[in-house]
Amino acid sequence: MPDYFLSFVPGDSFLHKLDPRTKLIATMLISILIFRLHITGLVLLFALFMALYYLSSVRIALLRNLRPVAPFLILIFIFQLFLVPGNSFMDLYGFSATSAGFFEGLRIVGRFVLLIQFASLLTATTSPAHMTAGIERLLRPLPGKVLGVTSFEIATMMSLSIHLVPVLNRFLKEVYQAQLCRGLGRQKKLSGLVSLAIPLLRGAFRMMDDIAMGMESRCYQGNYRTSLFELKMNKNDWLVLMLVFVLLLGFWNLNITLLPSYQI
Amino acid sequence: MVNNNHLSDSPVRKMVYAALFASMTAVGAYISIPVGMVPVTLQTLFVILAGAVLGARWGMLSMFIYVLLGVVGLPVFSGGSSGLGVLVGPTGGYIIGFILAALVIGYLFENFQSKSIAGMVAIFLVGMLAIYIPGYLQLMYVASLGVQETFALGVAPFILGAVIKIAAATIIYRYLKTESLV
Repeated sequence: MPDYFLSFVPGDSFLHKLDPRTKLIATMLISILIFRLHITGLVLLFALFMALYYLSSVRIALLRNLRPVAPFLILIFIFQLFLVPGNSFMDLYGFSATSAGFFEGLRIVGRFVLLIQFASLLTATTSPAHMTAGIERLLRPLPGKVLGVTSFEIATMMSLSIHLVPVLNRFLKEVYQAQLCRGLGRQKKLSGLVSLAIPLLRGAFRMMDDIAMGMESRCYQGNYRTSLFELKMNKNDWLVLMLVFVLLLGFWNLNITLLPSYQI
Repeated sequence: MVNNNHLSDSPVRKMVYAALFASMTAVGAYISIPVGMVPVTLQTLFVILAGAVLGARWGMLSMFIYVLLGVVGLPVFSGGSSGLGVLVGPTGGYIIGFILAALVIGYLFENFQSKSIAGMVAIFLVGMLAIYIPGYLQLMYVASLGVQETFALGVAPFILGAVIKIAAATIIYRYLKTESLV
């Protein structure tokens, strides 16, 4: 894991102070909205994103967020450009790029860019611990019988997992180094894969047995526990939720486009 | 480290193991091992092993936790991405498929006690299909691509890697069974 970093940026802005539940629900509502919109609406939402971005006073690398999905987005755009029928403006080896395809590709790629940027704003302004607490609170009304666990147990598993990721990463490096020391170089065979995975799993199982025994010895039970920092929805949270809801209703039928020429 | 072999079946132990497989899936996205010419990441290997080792309910829960880790903002989705946006994006179907795959594999292992290698391979193959079918459908739907383009973009590049991982998962699961670690 070469660049393991948290996407959370500590800060003291308006967005940081909002309740994690507010931000989660708002991001979900905006995600639904994004799938309804055409290019005009997407441009307006992008303006809203930029406003929030400056309000949040976090300087996340906007292009870096897109890097993992960039190959997919570029290929999707190319597919749309050449495969949507319409009047063509460019011919390449028998394939014709159409203006309808160009706008369709722009719309679909624009959606994904906006989805990722809004979500990255959420994760940049909310610490994992807060987010876990928020998710736990949102899951609490679900009857525990459906999943077989309570929301408190889910929260415990989440924070355990968050802490295990760097531990396992270091353990994996140790296993790899130990094998290198004993002359088991980089094998390009199936056995190379298996001989790394088995010691990793054995060691990890042993660690987990210790953790489980520790938790059992301390009588862990997945019940409600009080917390030093209770989540509280204040006036700003309700205000933001109301604004997002108004935005959702107002934009819902904004499918009339200011670029009628591409509706062919 | 105390080497305790008590192997209790308490829910706490199941919980901890589910958390382990969630983080294994996260870490696995970053480990790439070349097998022949194909670079294989360990991510889906741990997904199908989670179903086999933990069973239907806890396997599904562990993948659910993995998805939540990504939602919370840890860079655990492939390529180091995270967030709600990835889930509804073009590659989100595969991540939903992880939950389905662990559920299906767990169910099959619980209900058909297959000791034979062929049986295990068949179950892992069904699990792999449970990852790629939702992935394929979501990619086709959200990117509004045709049937063949989606296959070329979203399934064909991964077939060889999936076959290698099914073979590896079978070997590893057999080993864990004979050592009675699961």
